Amino acid sequence: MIRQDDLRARSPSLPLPSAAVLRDYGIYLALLALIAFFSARIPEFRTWDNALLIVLQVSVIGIIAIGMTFTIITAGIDLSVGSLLAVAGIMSGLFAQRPETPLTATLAFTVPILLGLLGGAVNGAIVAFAGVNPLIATLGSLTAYRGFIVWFRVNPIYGLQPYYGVVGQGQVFGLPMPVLILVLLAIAGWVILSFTRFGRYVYAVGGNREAARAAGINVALVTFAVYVISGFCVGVAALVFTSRLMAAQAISGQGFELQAIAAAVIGGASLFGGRGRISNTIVGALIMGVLFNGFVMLDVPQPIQQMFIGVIIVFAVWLDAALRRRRH
Amino acid sequence: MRVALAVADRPGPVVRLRGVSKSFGGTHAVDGVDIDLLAGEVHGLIGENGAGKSTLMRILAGCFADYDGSIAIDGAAVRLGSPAQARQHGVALVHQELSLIPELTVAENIALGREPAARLPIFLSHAKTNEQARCVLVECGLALDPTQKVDRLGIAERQLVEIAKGIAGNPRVLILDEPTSSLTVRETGLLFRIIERLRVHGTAVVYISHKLDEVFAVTQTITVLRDGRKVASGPTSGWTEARLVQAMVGRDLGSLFPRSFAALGPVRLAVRNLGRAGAFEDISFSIRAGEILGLYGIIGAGRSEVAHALAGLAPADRGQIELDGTHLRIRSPMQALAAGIAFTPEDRHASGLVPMLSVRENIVLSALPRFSRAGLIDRAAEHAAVRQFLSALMVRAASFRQEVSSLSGGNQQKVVIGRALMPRPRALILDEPTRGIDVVAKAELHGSIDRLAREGLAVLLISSETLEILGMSDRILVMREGRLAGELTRTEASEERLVALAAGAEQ
Amino acid sequence: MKARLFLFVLTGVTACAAGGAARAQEKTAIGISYQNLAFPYVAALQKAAENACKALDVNCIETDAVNDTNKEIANVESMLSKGISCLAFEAASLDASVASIEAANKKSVPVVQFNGKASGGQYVTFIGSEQTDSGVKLGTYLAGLYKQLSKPKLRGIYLRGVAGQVTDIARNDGMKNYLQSAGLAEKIDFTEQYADYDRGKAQSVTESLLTKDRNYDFIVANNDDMILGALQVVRQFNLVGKIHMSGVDGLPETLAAIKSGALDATVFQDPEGQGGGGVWGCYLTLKHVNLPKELLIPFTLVTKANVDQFVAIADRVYVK
Repeated sequence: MIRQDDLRARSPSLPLPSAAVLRDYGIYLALLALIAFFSARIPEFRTWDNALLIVLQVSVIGIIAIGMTFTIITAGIDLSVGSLLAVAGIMSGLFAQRPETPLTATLAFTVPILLGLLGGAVNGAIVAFAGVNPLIATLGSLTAYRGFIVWFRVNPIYGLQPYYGVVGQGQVFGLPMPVLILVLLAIAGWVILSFTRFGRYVYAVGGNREAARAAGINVALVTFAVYVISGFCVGVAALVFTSRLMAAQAISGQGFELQAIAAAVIGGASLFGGRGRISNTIVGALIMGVLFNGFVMLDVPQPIQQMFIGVIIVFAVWLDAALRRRRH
Repeated sequence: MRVALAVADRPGPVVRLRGVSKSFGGTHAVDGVDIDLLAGEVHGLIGENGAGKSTLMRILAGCFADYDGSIAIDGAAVRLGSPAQARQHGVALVHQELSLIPELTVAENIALGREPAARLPIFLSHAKTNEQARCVLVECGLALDPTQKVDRLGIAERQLVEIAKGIAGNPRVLILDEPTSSLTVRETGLLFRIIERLRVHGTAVVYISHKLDEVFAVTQTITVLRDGRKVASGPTSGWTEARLVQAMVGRDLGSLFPRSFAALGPVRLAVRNLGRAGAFEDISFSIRAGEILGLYGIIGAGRSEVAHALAGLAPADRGQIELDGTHLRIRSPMQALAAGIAFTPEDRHASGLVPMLSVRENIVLSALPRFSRAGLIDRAAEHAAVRQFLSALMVRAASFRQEVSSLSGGNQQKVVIGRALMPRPRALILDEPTRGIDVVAKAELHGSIDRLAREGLAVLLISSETLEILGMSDRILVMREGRLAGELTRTEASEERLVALAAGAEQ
Repeated sequence: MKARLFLFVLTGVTACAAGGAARAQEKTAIGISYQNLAFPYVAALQKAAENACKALDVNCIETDAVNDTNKEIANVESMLSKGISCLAFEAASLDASVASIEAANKKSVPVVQFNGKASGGQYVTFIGSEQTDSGVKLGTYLAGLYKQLSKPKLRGIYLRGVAGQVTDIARNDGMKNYLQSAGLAEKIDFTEQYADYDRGKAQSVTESLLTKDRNYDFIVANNDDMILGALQVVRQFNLVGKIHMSGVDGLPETLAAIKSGALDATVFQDPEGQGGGGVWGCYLTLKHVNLPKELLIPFTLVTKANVDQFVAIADRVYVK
């Protein structure tokens, strides 16, 4: 008598759990390796002050990258972050320049965030409801927002009131404010993605759009929402950036979109959608920050720094593809 | 959660479709179909590819907002314009094309769209999600780990997850569209037990399948669709296979396995001690010109891996391959093709076709050098060859410029085989060539394969369908867990012996 | 100073001549191509040019190359086909911008270059400042600093602009050559980094460098935006006064910082002379006035001693 259970072959599940583990935690190792390398070469690198400095320097890009992670998980992208940062920064600066009153202070702090939300909503509407490809849509808004702000206010705004500096230069329990804001937003992003229904849907929409729709998920709304989240992050980043610089310029933020995408991609987010984690994005940003800081201290010329970062991005994407192939 | 009444108390049909129609572009995919789905009944829905079965059920599942006709559920007229609405009315569709999210776990996929909330409103409870999934899986008798990520599961397990997902919401109507295309005998048995449980519970089940033996085994009523219209409907006991096929096709079909066993030529393909670590070991066989060697085994036995080694997709570590006496070293598909070995993959969507290219472009893909001089393509020669192959294989397409993704499954498979044949190979390896294809296309494909064998090709036919292997092969090899379990001649072989060898119950 | 006087005289003479004649003919069209209006200095040039256009009652068509020589030549070609009588041109790049000038040469449209000069093509006159001169002024500042601090060697940070850009190279060469001729090349040590003329990048770079080592004597930058970014950091590290700083441009913000003593100096560029001068050069050329090949407007080193003179000019052309 043939036993029914014997008819089953060994489970065809694929081997090597270490492949996935390697990918997800490998960047932590990479970060530690880099830190070890620079610490060995430069004594001043090993200080607590320098460590804080690195996190401080990546805070603006890190905040933007948190929002970018959301859009990348849905297989989308937001290229307009740099231009939107400039818009939000200038508008914030206009109010921060005025003499300090409760009204001007409130506006100086809230206007950039509102503009970020608005800019993100515009992107989201074009991508989710008009169905335009996110790359094209945000490339368009990148150009439009930048053109607008350079036309609106080409000269920098400086002479910002001293109170405004609290966001960019203040400290709470010895931690710089931008670092605190980065950590809080990162935690919020992590909670949303891992523990809420909305977060689950973000992964679903990115992993298999049609399946998500068939499961009754409102794909358009989820898509719209991630761009609003990205815009919100840009608004906060604009506030931090302008406050740190104590000046607002229409030409700020150029190239920020690529740095934010690099942080997410180095951290393992897949541009094809469905994969990505906030914690890993932050590590990706830190890797870039450590490289920048270390290279400057080693007196390595900037063009060489860029070459390195470029090579690392390509390596990270190649590794992602290679490990994906091993799974299937 | 809806509580279904016992079968006897049910007043009328659960679902009543009247005059349902849907067209795409100019063609009617579904044309004025009336159908009743009763509680506690398994309703078989069959027809050729393109007959409209899937489309009709997708309308019921809310996939199309713009259909004509009326749908009544429990007597009340409803308009199902979105998947969410259909779900609300208790309709669950288990797709033919797997619709799982690879990066999420089994439990998360099962719960998709209906996640259980934690104490705080917007948060999810991972524990509850896993628990609910565990319940469903246990009830169905499925031994799967709910915390496993779907992209690490094999295709059979994914199909089981898909089925569990459909059942999880306690639907009034469960639609199964080709549910066993990737399942083994045992798993199909599991599915039948699940369906029986649902039937007793009062669920209306729709069973769409090309496998007529299964339809006879599990359904109480069968409806036949042809060209979008309902041509016949009646209790299963009143149908025979021949009458079913006649209703599907509208004419009498010859044999399903047209095989003329002619005299065989010399040995074409000889394989000795082929092995690849972790996949298969010590495989030796030979195929003569004009011979079809069947390769049988359960999913995971290693048959496709052997094929991949011969085709250059995943080269072997050791062993020898000889074609017409020449020793071959195959490390890439290019080398295999150049040597004269052609291969059609198991999954035509993933690795067989380029969906956006036309029929013509797909067919000539492997053979372009034949039609190009100095890198430029000779259109006239190309078109002539394409036409010849398309008519020989009986591919039904409006024009060879049509996008290949718009063809039915059966025709797509013919295109894949056409592509493999164009470079005029001497050995042909077919991996599950008639999976998911309707009866008519299947018969036509079998006819083509027989013709190729008569023309002198050596054919290796990998199949999990015992009837097909028995009907088409001169000899049958059985593999189990990466090794050869036995070899049977045509006269020695039978369904029981094949299954026994594959399971390891016979020495 | 001499050039300014020259221009003032010309203004007087030709204003009278132009007064009557201008009304009789159609408004002439002058095309102006800027290198990048996002730079505050260039925006000031634009304001001054617009003022001049209004005063001379000519039709000015303005275009922005946005630092991209491809865009630059596209702009120039469309202006030429629209029909301009003269091209006032601010080169974005030393070599690549030559193509734009030659395009105008082919159409026999006279070219007046201002602020940035390309390395080829035919032009009537160049009105601007010799950028190496600004470098020399920076060098002068450092020489003075060296004497003042009377240390055997000075260590400092040099923040540069965009690698390969005309002005950046000119300023660097000017400064280093001056120090060489003054015999101070060995005595002054530079830690150089490119910060793309960007305030934020200059801030990041300075942060990293100062965290490593606070013992720098000075920071100089190839433009004011960068020195202001560095100043933020110096303030945070409480090193104001201990690290001596100088930029180039003369933005109002910088002048204010010099007045308060946070910055030592800057090298003042005159946007009015250059921007207005470009338009004037075209106008005079069209009136067949013979102009010298170069009208150089000198740079001035601004320190606390003479800062008030320049505040007024800056306020006229820079928007607050």
